[in-house]
This record gives sequence, C-alpha cells and structure tokens, in this order.
Amino acid sequence: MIMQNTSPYRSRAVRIFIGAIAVLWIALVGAQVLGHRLLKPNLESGTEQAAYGQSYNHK
Amino acid sequence: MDLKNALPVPVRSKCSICNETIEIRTFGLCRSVACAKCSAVFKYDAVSHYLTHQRTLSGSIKVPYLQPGDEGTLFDRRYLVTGWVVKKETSTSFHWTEYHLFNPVHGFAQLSLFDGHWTFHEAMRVYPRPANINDIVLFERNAYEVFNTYQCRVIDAAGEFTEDPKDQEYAKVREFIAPPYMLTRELRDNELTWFHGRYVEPGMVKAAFAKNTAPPVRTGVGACQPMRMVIPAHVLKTLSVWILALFVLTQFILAISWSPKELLKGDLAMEPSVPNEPIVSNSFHLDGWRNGIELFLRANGVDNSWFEMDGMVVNDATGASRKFTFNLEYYHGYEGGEHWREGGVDDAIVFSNLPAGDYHLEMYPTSDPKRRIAYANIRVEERPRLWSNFFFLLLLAMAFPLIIWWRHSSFETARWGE
Repeated sequence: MIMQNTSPYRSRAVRIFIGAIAVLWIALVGAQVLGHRLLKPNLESGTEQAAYGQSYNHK
Repeated sequence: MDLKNALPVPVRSKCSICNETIEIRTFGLCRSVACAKCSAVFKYDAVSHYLTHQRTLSGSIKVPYLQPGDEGTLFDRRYLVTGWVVKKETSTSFHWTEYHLFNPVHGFAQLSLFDGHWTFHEAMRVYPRPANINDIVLFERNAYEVFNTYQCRVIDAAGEFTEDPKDQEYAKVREFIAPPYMLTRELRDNELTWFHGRYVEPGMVKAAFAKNTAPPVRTGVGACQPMRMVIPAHVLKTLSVWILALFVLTQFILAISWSPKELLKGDLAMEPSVPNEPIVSNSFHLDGWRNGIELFLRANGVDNSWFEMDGMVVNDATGASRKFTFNLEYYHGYEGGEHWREGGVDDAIVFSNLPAGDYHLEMYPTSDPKRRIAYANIRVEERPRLWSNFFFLLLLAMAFPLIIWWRHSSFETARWGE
C-alpha cells in the first residue's frame, strides 16, 4: 500500500480556498479602482434607489 | 480472474449440529471453521478434513454484508471473503464485524465494519516506532495518536479461519490513528502483531464486491475517517497570516497610489437667490470609465440646531441625476455636572460608478428656523478611499479560515466522542 505524502498546500481544498481569497482580493482592488462601494447604501445602483435620502458618514 | 476458479475445488463438509454445508477453500491454512447457520465452531483437521465441535457462539446481532465465498477487488488485489467474526468490546456495548479476506499471493487481510465505517487492515512487516510523546507512534512520516485500547469478546463467526476465533479474545488491542490510516497493535501471549489499516468508503466496498444492496449506513465519524476538503491547522494558520498581510498591504498601496483628488471646493450661500430654486454649484469633470466621488458637507453654523440638505448630482449633458440628503444635527450642553454632545457639523456621501462627463450639484437646503445657516462648505473628491470595502472583504476573507477551523473542530469532536 502506497501512502500519500504530498504537500498539504497542493490539496484541492487549499486551491479552492486560495481561489476564493483571490476573488475577494480582485474585488478589493477592482472596487477601489472603479470607485464602487460594496456595502449598502450604494446610491448609484439602480436597484438601490430606495437608499436615496439616506445620509451616512462612514466610508 | 476469479479466485474461486483459480483455486482448487473447496472441501465440503457438513455441520454436525445443523447439517449445513461448510466449504473450506484455504485447505492447509485453515484451522477452524464456523457454521454460518448455527454459529457452531469446529476444529478442522486439514489432513482428514474432520471437523471437531468446539463450541457454539451466542449468535450475530446483524446480518453480515459480505458472506464467505464473496469476491472483490480492493486496492488492485483480488480477495476472497473466507469468513467473518462479530466482536464486542468487553467494557462497552460497541460491536463490530471483521471480514477475513484471502489472496493466494498476498495472504490474509481484514475488512472491519463499525457503524457503517469500513477499514482495510493488513499485517505489517515493518513495525512503527514510538515517539516517546503521549503514546504517539511514527510510521512512514505519519504520527499516530492513541485512539482506543480494549479487549474484546467474540459473539459470532462464520467461515474458515487460521485459528479459533475465540483465541482473539485474549488479545490486548490498541488502536492508533492518523486519518485515513490506522495502526492496530495486538498483544497476545507475549506475541506482538501490528496491522496497518486504511479507511475505505462504503461505496468502494459495494463496488469492489459487486453488491446490489447498499452497505450499512454510516453513523457518526469513523475512527480513521478522513475529513473531506480538509486544510491542516498549520496550513490554515500560515494562509491566514498571508491573507491578512496581503489585504493590509493592498489597501495600503491603494490608499497611497489611488489617493483622493479634489474636484470642487467652496463655501456656498445656503439662501437661494430665487425662492424655491436650487443652489447650483460649479461643474466638475470626471474622465474615468467609471468613477467614484465623495461629497462632503460641513456647516459650522449648526449649533444646538439642525440643518438638512436634499440635492442631486446632475450630469450636465444628459441630465441624469443621483439624489442625496444630508441631515446634520449638533446638540451639546452641560447637565448633571457633565458636558454632553450629540451629532456633528459635517457628513459625507460616496457615489460610485458614475460615467465620465461633466457634473454639477443642485441643492435644496433647509435650516432650523431658530438658527439659519448662511454658508456651508461643499467639497467633492474623486477616488474616495473606500475603507468599508476593505473591512468588509477582510472580514469575509478571515471568515473562511474560521469556517474551515469550525468544520474541522466539529468533525474531530465527533470522531473522538465516539
């Protein structure tokens, strides 16, 4: 019986985990470059027009 | 190739208790047989093929999934099921089934079944070495932890065996695990034997032995059941530190290289020249494909009063607008020997995804009648620093390791709680 001793960093779970983190990192950079606020109220989003009139002072 | 066809024709005998036919396929290796129908155990003489009744076991709790004579391929080896033994821990009510497998070249192996969990065991030729730490043993770069120590009773058996199944009751057994592997140490009459085990998925057993019925349903977590999609704790820890560093560094670089740029600034009179007409600001230009801006309002005159301003960011060319409302309130006083304050005189709103073009602001201010605001400072900046994005995404990124850690912790708690 051959025992598997491959690096734990090469496992499928780690690759999926790193992939998910990469998506979040791209979202961070992309949102900053496009000036897009990810949290509500996002006054520019057509579906969030209901947020109009909501003043907030947190970025 | 089927082993049954490759092996000589089995010896057939009759159970002297119930007259059931007993087949013996391992010939000279067989020392004991047990009747599948009445659980009578016989000593077998390989020369004369004579069966001597030894005892009758108390009987099985469940119908075995595999029967003597079944054949299957596990880990690229063809095995013949030669028998099964149902055992019970002496100090608990736990019981399990051990299926004895035989391959003419590789010898004997066992497939144990407990609560729907299957483990394939083979006798080891090279023994593990102790690590001298908490009873851990080392074998092939894996550290095995003690999982269980017990002695057992044989409840039932069927098939042919290389020894009397009852003899196994004298063994002191100790199990060590490093999922998906398990090492079993059996000490009997000063004779030490080690077995190397490996977790087998139930579906694999069903496919290996070409069974039509589903194997027993798994309950709980098996002793050496591997967790799917697991990330080892040290890997998770390392990755978490790197993720934190990556996000902080990225935000730091973005904050420096993508710093806000002022587009409009000025003190505007808050009394319109024409009643009911908006106060209109100068135009400012946005040249990016999509742009984010932050609109700041500061009204220093708000003092124990309120100031409200509805307004719009209007595209000069298309007239498309984005509405906003500022509500400023600032109250303070001295009460009960303490100063208190509430609210503030400034606020900010972020707009994002604005297309390129020229824009201006249209504002409709309303002051507290008790305290009119004459001027307010308006400032517009593009490329706002979106700290909420950073904290939100960092929270999400850090949630992954926490969820994975929680899953792993729950799984291990269930394993060791068995």
